[in-house]
Amino acid sequence: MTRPPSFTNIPQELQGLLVTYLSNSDLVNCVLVCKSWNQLFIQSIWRHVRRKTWNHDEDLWDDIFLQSCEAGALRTNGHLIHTLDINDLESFLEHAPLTLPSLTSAEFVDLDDGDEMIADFIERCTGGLKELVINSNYNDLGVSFGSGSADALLKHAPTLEIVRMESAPCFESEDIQKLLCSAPNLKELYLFGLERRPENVDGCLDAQDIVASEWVCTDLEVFGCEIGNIPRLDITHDIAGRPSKEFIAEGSRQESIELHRGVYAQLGRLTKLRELTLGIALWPNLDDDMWEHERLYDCLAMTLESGLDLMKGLRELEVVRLDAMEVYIDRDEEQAWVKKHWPKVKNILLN
Amino acid sequence: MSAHSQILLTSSEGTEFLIDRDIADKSMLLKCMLEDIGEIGQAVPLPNVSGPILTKVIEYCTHHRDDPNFLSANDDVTADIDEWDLEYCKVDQGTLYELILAANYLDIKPLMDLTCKTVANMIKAKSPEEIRKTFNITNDFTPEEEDQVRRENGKDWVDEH
Repeated sequence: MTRPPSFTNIPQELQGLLVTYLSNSDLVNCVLVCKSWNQLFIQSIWRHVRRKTWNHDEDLWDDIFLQSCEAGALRTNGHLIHTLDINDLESFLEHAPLTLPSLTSAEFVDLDDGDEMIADFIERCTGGLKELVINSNYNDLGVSFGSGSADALLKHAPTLEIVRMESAPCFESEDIQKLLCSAPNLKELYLFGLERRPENVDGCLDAQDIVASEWVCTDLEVFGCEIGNIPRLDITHDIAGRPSKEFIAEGSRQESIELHRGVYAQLGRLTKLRELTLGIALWPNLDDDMWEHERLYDCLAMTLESGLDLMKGLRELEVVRLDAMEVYIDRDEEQAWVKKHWPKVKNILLN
Repeated sequence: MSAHSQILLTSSEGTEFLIDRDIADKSMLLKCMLEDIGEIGQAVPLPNVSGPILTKVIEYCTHHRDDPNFLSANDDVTADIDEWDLEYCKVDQGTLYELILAANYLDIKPLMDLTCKTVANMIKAKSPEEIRKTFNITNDFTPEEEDQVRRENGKDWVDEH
């Protein structure tokens, strides 16, 4: 039996096991040893590219990573990246190859880049994105995720599992609906922007869009998105000193009932749902008038009369957030219904 | 079948080894085979394992025969290797690789973890030059290539701190 001269001869799965015992700084030494060791270890370094904070200096990593990129690192190793977590997309794209075939998961925190950059990035992920998480800086220059990015993202519908955007507005209702109707593997969809309606209707699902076509993402476990444009004839009181009709969608009683039922029916088919977020409290310190003004009024009423019972199949639900919504689910009837049909829900977050 | 029954193994050169059934059961390959086909009454050939290596493997399984946590023994990536295991792995590199291969073939996960961890410890906290010395490797990078790899994989951005 011939002896293996070095462990470059041992099976790949064992080399993989070996790598789990090494730190990244060990791996960097390994890739410098010789060409065959370089081949063996390089993918372990580049598989996950994650931004870190060192010694409380948030930008240090970015600077050093950028130096590597400028030295041509992404051209050599960009194809090895599976997960990416950075915050300077512009520099990354400047140095990255035109295709990133292994990239399936991207997370951008404190992103300053706009729609075009995000669209460009998404288009380069030719292997199919599974996860996109964006948490952008809001600035006066306007939008981050927008219609260009949405178009690019929709092409990844077959592979998408997680789409999460916080403070990233401008995802249009029609596009959100298209995503829900074309991404069968979607497990998490969470979209909340900074701006509240009525000023900003993006990042919010229009109930009319929801009822127009059927969702295919029946494995969805987390759903977080405002649903608006529902006529609420039950709201008659003045809001912030102004008549309620300035705040609620127009429509007849019949239209309101049909819309409610249509939306509940779509949501009611998501039987694996664990988290349902339809409203979040954004600015707890607002004075009463402003708070009233920012409240959601054209949302689902969440009452038994409006058809809540169509969601009785959601038995896996654990968390329900209805903050800042004009709903009446805290009445006795709805409370009893929740207890009976959503047994895992401890309490519903309302405000 | 009794727990005290014995199994006959044949190494690649045809040497026979008679071992207790509970020792053989440390190898998932042998355990499953014996459960599937029962004791066949004849030697089980192990064409991929040499006599000296099989002796080492049996030594490991015998030492750990009553270990209640055998299967999860070396799961912890950061845990230190215990003294007996440490002594056990003080062999030349060729033997170490053959042990890795044998542990893989016989499917003895704790031995595989132990031997891989031992190789990893030979790499840890060493400069590329020290690694080359340890593993007797010739650097086939040109100085320019090596410098390029160094710049592309800036030690600092990948470092874990």
